[in-house]
Amino acid sequence: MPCKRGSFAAVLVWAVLAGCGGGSSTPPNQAPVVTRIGDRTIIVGESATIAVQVSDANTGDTHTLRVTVSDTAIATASASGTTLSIVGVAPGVVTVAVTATDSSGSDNATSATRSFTVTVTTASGWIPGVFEDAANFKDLCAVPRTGVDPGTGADYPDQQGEVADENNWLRSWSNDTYLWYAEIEDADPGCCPTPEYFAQLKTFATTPSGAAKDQYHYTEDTETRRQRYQSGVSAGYGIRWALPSRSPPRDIRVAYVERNSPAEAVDLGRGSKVLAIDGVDAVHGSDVATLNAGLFPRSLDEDHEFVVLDPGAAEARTVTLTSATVTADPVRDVRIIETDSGPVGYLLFNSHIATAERQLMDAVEQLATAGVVDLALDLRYNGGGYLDIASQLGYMVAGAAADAGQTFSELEFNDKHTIYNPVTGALLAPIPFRTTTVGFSVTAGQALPSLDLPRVFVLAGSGTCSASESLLNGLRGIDIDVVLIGATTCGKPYGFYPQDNCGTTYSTVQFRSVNAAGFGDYADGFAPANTAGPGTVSVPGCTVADDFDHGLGEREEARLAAALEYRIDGSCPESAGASGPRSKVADALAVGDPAQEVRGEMVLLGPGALPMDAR
Amino acid sequence: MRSVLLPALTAVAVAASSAEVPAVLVEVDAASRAALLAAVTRLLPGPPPLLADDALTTTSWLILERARRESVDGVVEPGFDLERPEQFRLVLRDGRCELVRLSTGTREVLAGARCAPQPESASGAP
Repeated sequence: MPCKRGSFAAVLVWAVLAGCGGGSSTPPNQAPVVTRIGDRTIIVGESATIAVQVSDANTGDTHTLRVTVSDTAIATASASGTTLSIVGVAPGVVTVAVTATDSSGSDNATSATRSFTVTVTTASGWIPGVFEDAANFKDLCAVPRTGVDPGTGADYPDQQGEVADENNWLRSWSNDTYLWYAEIEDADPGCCPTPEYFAQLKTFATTPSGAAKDQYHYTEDTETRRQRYQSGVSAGYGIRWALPSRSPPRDIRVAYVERNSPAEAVDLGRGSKVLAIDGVDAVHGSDVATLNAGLFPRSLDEDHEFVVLDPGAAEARTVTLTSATVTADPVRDVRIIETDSGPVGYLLFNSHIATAERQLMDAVEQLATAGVVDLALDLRYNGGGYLDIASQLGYMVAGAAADAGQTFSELEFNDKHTIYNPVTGALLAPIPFRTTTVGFSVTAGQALPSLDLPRVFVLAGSGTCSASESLLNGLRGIDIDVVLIGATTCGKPYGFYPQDNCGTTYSTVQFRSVNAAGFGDYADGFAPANTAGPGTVSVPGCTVADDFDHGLGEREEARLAAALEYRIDGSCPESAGASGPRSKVADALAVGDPAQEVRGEMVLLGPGALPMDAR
Repeated sequence: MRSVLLPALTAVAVAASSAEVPAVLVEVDAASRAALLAAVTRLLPGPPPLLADDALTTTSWLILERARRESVDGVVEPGFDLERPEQFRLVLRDGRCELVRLSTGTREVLAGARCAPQPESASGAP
């Protein structure tokens, strides 16, 4: 190694280590040192120029930089002398490595590599795969609300922000709590208006049946969401409509009417077919707006004229329905059906609302007193509600089998939240079968009656959803035999904690419910075994069409009759026939109209829009 | 000391609650309905709830639930409901009708409304 020129200190060290001495040799060349370079953030399409500082013991040296970038799809870099130029190509984070080589001819020395990070963002600050805490964007609103929030009595929390802030909150919140967060395709929050952006923040995968995996992703105005109703009270006629065919030729039927309702006052009953509304042909007409307005009045005291054909009637009749407040009975009917093998209970349960707690308790006491040996639980029109009500009913059916802290349901969040509920902060724990009242409409802590049945016949259809399906699943989880009569259920094992931001309340799937056996994969619904289709969960039972020629609870009604027949010899009625999965089953609410078409347009209890089309 | 005080405090609480009795509305008219709606809205801020015309006329209990979105075929949004309903109780105290929100204990006088003690047959509500 030749001796080279250099500083005194360098020469001295060299002299000691290499034995160079005297004035005939030059000290060795020293490698330059690239001074620390701070991390940079640049926007896509823009460039940053960095003057790199290089120190060198050999003061006369000049230097050439060499620069490499870990991913040139995100950023490119070039050097001119000791100046770097970095250009943002796409959002992301790259490592830039720099070395400096001196100009000592054949003895050139190269510095150690100096690295720094360059973050390339969009104008909105988006970096794919990098998520700030959602709290950093909460309540930053493009149009902040001002004044006192009538829902809380305190000032609105809103602060001036931008659309990108609202989108960033949604992005981070979804990444944290959405059940299928890993299936969200990360997109620039600066891309678009907030409703459009939220619509992207979901999975677009499909279930084995081909249905959308996530059919429950929606928003509503926060003020609208705050609207409350007296339990069971709604504005309307007191009619539950059934739509065997929603497109022309339409078939609009009365599924049932509430007691003391405008519908009952004009003697409408199950099976009545609507032929015309306010002069518009309900079967073939194209004026869908008029039909919807008549079927679902939006305010009280609206008059609408209906032409209906009652079951068994030869001629149609005209009735005027006036919307009013109607109080629904969630437990609509309780019957004891005498059979050769003992009394069979029939329970028509239409909604898991608060008043159901008392009514279910009364109904089960009645059934227990009668000593029923089987139960036909009619959930065909029960779209769900309070999970605690379902849990109580589960116990009342199963009795001892559901006692001793047996799990009714367990909420599973995404894999980021396996110990604590990410919304409430509570420790995740199974929801047991409730053996006492929870205090919704009966004093809390009262012991519930029970039937101690080892099996239950569930009359179901596409309107059997959510908490109703959880009841089926909960019972199956403790080995109660569930026999399904009717059609495939809606397939909704999911739940949400709706969240307000800037005046909009967002609902995104955050958890699913599993039973004591850990099962919760019924996104395509539970289906009677004789017609179970792709993805559905096959349950012993029979597919039977909804029967509008008989009243609910009449032993001749097709689904109830099938249950009574099945309990004798396990057979299904010949008329049940074979049919396909949910969208094709002989279910009144699904024929010709897959359930998912319905879900895009929701209505409030009582008045609301009917998603009827004019095809 | 504690064993002495606790019964005393309990006695005070019992005495306070015994001064009021569960009640129902009587001689209901538009004014008393409006008073009820106003009281509920003050106790539970937000849009005025939809009440039945006979609310609090047969029982002293009033249960309010959040509006649920529901499709025409009954599918309820949003999924499982994990909330609790809001409960109110009408009481008669010193000749006045008072509505009590049970979750907070706050109360409002129903000005102009007439109450009577709740019939024994309706006492089993929550």
